[in-house]
Amino acid sequence: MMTNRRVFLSTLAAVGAAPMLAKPVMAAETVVVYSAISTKLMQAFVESFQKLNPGTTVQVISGGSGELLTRIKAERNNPRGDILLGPDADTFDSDLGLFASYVSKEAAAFDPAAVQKDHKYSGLSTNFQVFIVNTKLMPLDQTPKTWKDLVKPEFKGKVLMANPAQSGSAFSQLHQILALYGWDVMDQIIANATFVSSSKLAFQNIAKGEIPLGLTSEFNVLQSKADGDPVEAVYPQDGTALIVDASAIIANGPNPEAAKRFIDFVNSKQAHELLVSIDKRRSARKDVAPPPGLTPISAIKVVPYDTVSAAKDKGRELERFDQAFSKK
Amino acid sequence: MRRLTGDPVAILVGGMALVVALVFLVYPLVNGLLLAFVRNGSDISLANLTLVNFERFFVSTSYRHAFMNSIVTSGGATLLAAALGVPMAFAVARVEIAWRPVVLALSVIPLIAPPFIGAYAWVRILGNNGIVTQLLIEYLGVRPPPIYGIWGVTIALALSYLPYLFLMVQGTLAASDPTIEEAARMTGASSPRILRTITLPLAAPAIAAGMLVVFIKALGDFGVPSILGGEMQVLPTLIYYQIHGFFNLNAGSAIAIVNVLLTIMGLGLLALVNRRSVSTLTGSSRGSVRARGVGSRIAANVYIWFVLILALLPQALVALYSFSLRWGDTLLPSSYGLDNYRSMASEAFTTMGNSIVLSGLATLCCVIFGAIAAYATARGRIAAKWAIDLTIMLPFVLPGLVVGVVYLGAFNDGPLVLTGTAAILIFAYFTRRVAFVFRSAATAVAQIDTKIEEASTVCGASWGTTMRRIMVPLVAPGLLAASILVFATLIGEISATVLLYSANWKPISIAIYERVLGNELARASALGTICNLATLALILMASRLAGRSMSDMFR
Repeated sequence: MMTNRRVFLSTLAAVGAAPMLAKPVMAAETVVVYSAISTKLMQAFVESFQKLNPGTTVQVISGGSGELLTRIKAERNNPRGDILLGPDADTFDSDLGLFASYVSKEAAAFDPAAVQKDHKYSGLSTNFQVFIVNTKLMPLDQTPKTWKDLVKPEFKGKVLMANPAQSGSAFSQLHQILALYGWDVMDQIIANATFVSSSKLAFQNIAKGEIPLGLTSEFNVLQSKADGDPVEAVYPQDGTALIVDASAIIANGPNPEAAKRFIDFVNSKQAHELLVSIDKRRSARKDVAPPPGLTPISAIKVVPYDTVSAAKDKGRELERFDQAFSKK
Repeated sequence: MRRLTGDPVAILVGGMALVVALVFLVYPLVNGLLLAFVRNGSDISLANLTLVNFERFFVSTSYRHAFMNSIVTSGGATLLAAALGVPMAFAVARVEIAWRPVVLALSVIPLIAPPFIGAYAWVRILGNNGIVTQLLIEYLGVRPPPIYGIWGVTIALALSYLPYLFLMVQGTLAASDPTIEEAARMTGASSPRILRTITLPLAAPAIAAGMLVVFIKALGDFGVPSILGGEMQVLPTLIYYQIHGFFNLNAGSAIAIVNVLLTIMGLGLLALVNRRSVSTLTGSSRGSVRARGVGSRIAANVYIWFVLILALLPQALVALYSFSLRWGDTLLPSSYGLDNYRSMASEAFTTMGNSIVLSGLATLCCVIFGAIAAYATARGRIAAKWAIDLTIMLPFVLPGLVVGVVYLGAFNDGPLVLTGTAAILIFAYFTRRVAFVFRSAATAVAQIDTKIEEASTVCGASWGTTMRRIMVPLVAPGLLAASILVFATLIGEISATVLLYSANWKPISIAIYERVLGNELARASALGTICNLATLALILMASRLAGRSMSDMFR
C-alpha cells in the first residue's frame, strides 16, 4: 500500500505544480501574433523576421478570424496579444477601438484605399470575389457570367455560397450583390443557391468535385489549381470588388515596441513578396506584382467596396437575409 | 457517516474540493450563464435582467429550425448509436470472440480523433464525388442519397459517439452476475425470455447512461454539422456564429442554455429508466458466461467488424490521406509518399508532448476531484446534493466554446490570472470533463456497502487509511476506465483550446486545426494519424501498467 500513498502524494504535488507550468521566456523580447494566415506563410514570416531581428521571439497563436477576434475582445482589459494578422478589413472596422494607430514606415508604398484612415490597420492582400468552377462538372462556356446570371433556373442546386451571417467573405459578396441589384435579385439567388456554414466548403467542395460552382476569393482558385484540381476562376462581368485583408497592432498589448517592428516587417516588400509567392495573393503594396496566373486588374471590371458602409449596414442586411433564408 | 463531519483529514479534503468547485466551476459558469439574461453590451445587474436573448426562439424561423434540427439529429444519432452499439456490446461481452482486446482498443479511436478531419473524411467517402459513391455508381449503377443534411449529420454523429455507449454497455454486460440468468435457464425460461426479462433490464441503466452521453455529445457537436449539414443549422452552429461572428456572448449564452434545457430533459428520461431498473450486488467473483457455439461466434464476429469498420472508415481515410502527395478530384490519391510525415514529425513530437501533459494533468484533476465529490455526495450528509450534481454536470453539457469564452473572461484579469499558462487549459479541460469521472465514481461508490467502511473504522483505522486501503482500491477500476475516456477525448479538444492556448503550450489538436484552416488536409491527416496512434499506445500502456488488459477495464 506504500505505492498507493506515493502515487497519491505525487499526484497532489503534480496538481499543485500545474499553475507554475508557464515555461520561462527565453529571448530578451517577444512579440505575440494572433494569426489567421496560412501556416506556410506564417512560418516564412517568422523565419524572415527573425533573421532581421535575432533578439526577438515570435509567438504565434492561430485560429479563424472570428476566434481570434473573440480572444482579443475577451482579453480587452488585459491584452495578451500584440498583433492581429490576416482577417478581412471589416473585421477590424467592426471594433477599431481594439487597435492602436501606427504610421508604418512602409505606409507610402501602399494603395491609400488599403490603409485605414487613422492608420489603425494596413492591407495585406487584396482579393477579388469570383466564381470557382469545376470544369469537369461545368464546361467554361456554360458558367454564369454575371452575378445576375445566378438567378437562372439552370443553376438551381449547382451553386455553393457561404452563409453571410457566418462568413466575412460571404457577407462582402452579399453586400456587393445588393449594391449592384438590390434585394429583388438577391432573393432569387437565395432561392437558387445553397448556403453552407463554412466558407471553406464554398471552394473545397468545388475543387473536390462535389458541386460545380461556388463563390470564393480568387487566391483559393489559384491554390486549388496548383494542387491539381480541375478548377478555373470566372470574374463576374457586372463588376466585382477588391476585398482587403489586413494587419494591426492590438492596443495596449504587452510588447508595443516589438509589435511596431513586426508590423513594419509585415508591411515590407520582402514580406509581401512571400505573400504573393506562397499564398498566391495580390499584394496591397503598389510595388509588388501579382502572382502569375491571376487575371490582371485591367481585364476585370472593378466596383468600389465601402468597408465603412458594409460595417454599418451589416446588422440590417443580415436580418433581412435571415428572413428570406428561413423561408426556403 | 459522522466520519465526514468529524475527521480533520476529511474536513481538509472536503474543504479543498469545495474551493476548487467554487473557483473553477461555480464562479466562471455563473458569470457566463448570467450573460444570457442581460442585453448585449449591458452589465450584469438586477436592474438589467431580461429575457430578450431568448426572444429569437419565438420570433426567428431559422432559430426554430435550428432547435428542431438539433433535436432530430442528436435524438436520431442517439437511437442509431443504441441500435448499432447495444448488439455489438452484447456480442463482445457475451460471445467468445477473437481478438477481444483489439476490438476494444480500436473502438476507442473515433473518440480520440480531432473533430473536423473526420467530417471532411465523410465527404471523401460518401460525398457526391466520394470513393464509395463513385464505386456504387460504377459497379451497381445506383447513386446513393446525398450525405449533406439531416441524414448525413445523424449518421456521422452516431458513428462518432457510438464508442461511449458501446464501452459502457459492454462493461456492464461483461461484469453482470451470471447466476441469475443461469437460475432462469434452469427453471426453464427460453433465451428470448431471459433476454427480455433479465439481461436487458439489468443493462438498462448502462444503456440509458450511454445514450445520454451520446445525446449530450451530439447536441454539442459543431464540426460535423458545419461540414455535412449543407444549409441546415443546429444550435452549436448558431452559438458559434453569435460568439465568433458578432461577439454576442449574451445571445450565445442564451442558446447554450436552451441546449442545457434539452439535456436536462434527457436526464429526466434517464431518471425514468433508472427508476424502473433492478439492482443486484455486483463485484461477484466471476464474470458473465460467454457463448461458444460456432453459429453465434461467426454471427458475432461478422457483426462486430461490420460496425467497427463503419465507425473507423473516416479514420482509415485520414490514414490514407496522410500518405497522399497529390489528390485532386480522382477516386484515390494519384501519388503516395512519406513527405507529410517527414515535414510534420518535429511539430507532431512537440505538440503531442504538450497534449499529453495538458490532458494527463487535467485527467488527474478530474479523477481526484471527481472521486472526492462522488464520495461526499454518496456518503456525506450534504443537504444540497442536487446542487453539487448540477454544478458538476453543467459544464459537461455546455459547448466548449462557451466554457472557453467564460474562462477567458474570468481568468485574464482580476484576482486570479491564468492566461498564458498551461494551467488555464488544464482547468478548462477539468471543468469540461469532471462530470464524466464524477458519474463513474458515484456509481462505483454507491455499490460499496457502508458496512465495509464501518468495519474498518471499528478496527481503529483513521478515515484517511480507510480511504486509501478500502475505498480507493474498490473504486479504482471504474475510475481507470472513465479516465481513459476523458484523456482520449481531451487530446482532440479544439473549441475551448483555440481560445485559451498559449504559444508555449500548443497542443496537437491546434496543430491539426491550423492545417485544416490553411487547407493542408494531407498534412492535417498525417498529424491526426500520429495523434491517434500515440494516444492509443498510451492507453494500452496505461492499462498494462495498471495490470489490466483493455478487455478487463471496460467492465
